[in-house]
Amino acid sequence: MSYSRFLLARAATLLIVAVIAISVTLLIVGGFGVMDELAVDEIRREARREIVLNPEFRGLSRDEIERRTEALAQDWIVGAGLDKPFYQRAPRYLLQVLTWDFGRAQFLISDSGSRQVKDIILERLPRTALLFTTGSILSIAVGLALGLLIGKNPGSFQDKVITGLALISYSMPLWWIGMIMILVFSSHLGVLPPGGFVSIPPPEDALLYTLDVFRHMLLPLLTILLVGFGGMAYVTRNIILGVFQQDYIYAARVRGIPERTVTYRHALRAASPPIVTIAGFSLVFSIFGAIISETVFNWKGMGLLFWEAVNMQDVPVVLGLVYISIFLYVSLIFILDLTYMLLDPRVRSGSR
Amino acid sequence: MKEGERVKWFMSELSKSKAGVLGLVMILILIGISAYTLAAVPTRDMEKWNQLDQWLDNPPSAPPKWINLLTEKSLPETYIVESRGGAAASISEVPELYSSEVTLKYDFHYDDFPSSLILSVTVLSYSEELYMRVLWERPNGDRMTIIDHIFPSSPEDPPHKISERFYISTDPEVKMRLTSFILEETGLSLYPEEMSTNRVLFLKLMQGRSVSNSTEPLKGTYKVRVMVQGFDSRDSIESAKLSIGGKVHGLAGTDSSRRDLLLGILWGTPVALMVGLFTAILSTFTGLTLGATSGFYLGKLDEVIQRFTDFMMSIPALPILILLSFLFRPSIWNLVLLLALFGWMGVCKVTRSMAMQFREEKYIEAARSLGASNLWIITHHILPQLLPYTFAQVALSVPSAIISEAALSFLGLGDPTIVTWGRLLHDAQIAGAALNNYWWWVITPGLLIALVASSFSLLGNALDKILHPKLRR
Repeated sequence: MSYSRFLLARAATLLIVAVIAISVTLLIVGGFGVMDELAVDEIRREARREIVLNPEFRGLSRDEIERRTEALAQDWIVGAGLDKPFYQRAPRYLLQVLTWDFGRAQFLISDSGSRQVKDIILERLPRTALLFTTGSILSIAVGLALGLLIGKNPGSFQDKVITGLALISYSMPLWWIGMIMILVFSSHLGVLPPGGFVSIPPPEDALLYTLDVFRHMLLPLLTILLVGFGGMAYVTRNIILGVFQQDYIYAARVRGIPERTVTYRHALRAASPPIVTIAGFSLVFSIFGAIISETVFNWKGMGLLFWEAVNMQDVPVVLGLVYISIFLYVSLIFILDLTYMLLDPRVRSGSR
Repeated sequence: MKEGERVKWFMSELSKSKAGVLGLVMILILIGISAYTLAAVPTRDMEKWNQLDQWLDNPPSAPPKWINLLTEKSLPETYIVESRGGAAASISEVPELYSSEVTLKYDFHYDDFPSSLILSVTVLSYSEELYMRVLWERPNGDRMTIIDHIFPSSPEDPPHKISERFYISTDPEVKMRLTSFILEETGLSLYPEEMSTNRVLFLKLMQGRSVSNSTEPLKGTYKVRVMVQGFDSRDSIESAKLSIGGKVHGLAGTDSSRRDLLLGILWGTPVALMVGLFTAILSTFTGLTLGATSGFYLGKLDEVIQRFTDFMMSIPALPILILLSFLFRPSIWNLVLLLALFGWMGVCKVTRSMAMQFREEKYIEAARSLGASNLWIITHHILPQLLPYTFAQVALSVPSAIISEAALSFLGLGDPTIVTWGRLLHDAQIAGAALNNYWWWVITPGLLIALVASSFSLLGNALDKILHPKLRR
């Protein structure tokens, strides 16, 4: 009972967080006139189209077209309420963003030809998810296995190596390692493609297509693994180390329970909730680390879109990306909470 | 313990941690590099970074020169020969004609060809027109005219000081002249588009062997004779400069805009340290103050601060940072503020729980019963106890600050007036440095980012173990 109520409360809180974050962003952006400039630009463009394409006005002088465009644009600007102060329109903007209406892009177009910011972003999202969830799962799995290994033998040689690696990988930008990987495996050894999603032209056969995508994914995956597994192993090690010092583990061993069972049934079970939290957070962060790594690997996901939008000065797309990031982040935190509760028996039974 | 004893105890504890000592030594070296840069490299040089026309003497995308130690083939270094001109001498056959000459000598002893040749000549002209001829003399005695040029007359009163740059390696006329030279020497006719001027000028030519097959340069002393003729005895060459662009440059190589990366790397050091430290200090002390206040007062104030902290923790920092820097193009100082804005929450949570423990202690109660105000208790009893933890936290916050700054600069959102390592990597990404195998351009800046970050995290971890009351056993 309290379990579902807690979840509900949590969902409500996170929703409020998202709404506040989006409102603040809107206020900052709108307060400095960015939103209005965008809207006015869009209206001017539309007005010009209207006038230029209208057969009635064909043959008019340039000044005349200019004048009519301006007059029509002014009409529309007043019609859209853009002459009033920003705060009067803010609620409408907020409603638009909350219903995932992010407006039209200035320059960027989606592969399907749409200029809606939402379409452009949603087209990219699955590719980001594919690369970075696979990468995170890989590094979590490897990190977990290694963490278990060294957590049981603290102070050993492996322990020192992996702890050292964890510390080093924490200090290295993921995207820079990506550049190095391209240098080594692509430019120098020439064994893997430096980036992209599939070869051009893509293979026709579905199986070959999948294999080709996987080949392109290999280098970024390797990079994520290289940077990610150290930290995960280190965290697992510390948690396992703590669990193995508990009395009940000692008691289990004394009772003659096999070491394997002690490790997996007793220790890992107790250690799993905190490990999952950390793993989840590392997953969430890795998705935002993607923003830059995708650029390096020319992986056409959300991250590369950030780079493209920033470099092309496409403000609506940058804004849309930020709004979607907020939604995503908040939902991921919620999923994390949910998983944590499912794993922790104290929470599950409602005795919290 | 007295202050002196405490410091002594602290130092002895720190010296026990190998990682901590290593981190400290690395930081001291980095501070040394920064101090050297600030003292020895003038700020003017850094402003030069954005003026691309200031770098034309360097070869583009050249690896550092120490790779000559690693490879058998020795690659040419950039070399500049400069000469002041002499007075004009009259030419006996033609009484009215005066000529002055400058010879530039270049000892060439490499196994590869130079990347560019630029000749700059400044003449002092009193005549209407001034003729210039440039001869290229090879070590084996071959001699060819590469440039014939007329310095134009000027409507102003003499003397005219005229400077001209000749881009020998790309000049089509030089190419035409070289094709006829090759035809004479080897009997082969070449299309001008087929050959690279630098190669042919330095090539060891062999009879009957095509130019594209021979790869061996001719070693020895090359001479460039610049001759100027005019109708006034005062006509003369003021200076002549030949820049021979190498294939290697400096200690760190160059980027595709010919800039010396060493300069960018040196200037990046104080900037990175400054951004890292200031952000870390600012965010840690914000977190400390908010956390201590929150944990000490509890109640409504605590609720407000904690909800705000939770809020800040539930929004994605990087996308919002990108948006803010995209819209407002912050200076490096504002960037520090922005980074600190998203970096204080962890410290706040930890100090809050620590402050909550401290407020229950007996001596706090004693202080309170003696009439101490809340503010006095916080500043005199709570904060000093939290301070040691703070030192470790400052060191531990530096890496993420530096990496975040590098990330923003990498996206091209950093302060455009300042050279940072992230910006070097941004330029590298734009130029496709990783794809083109310009390893020197990618490895050095990133390695330095990693070095700074890891030295602070090594030190931070060591400090944390010594100072954090919870971790001490």
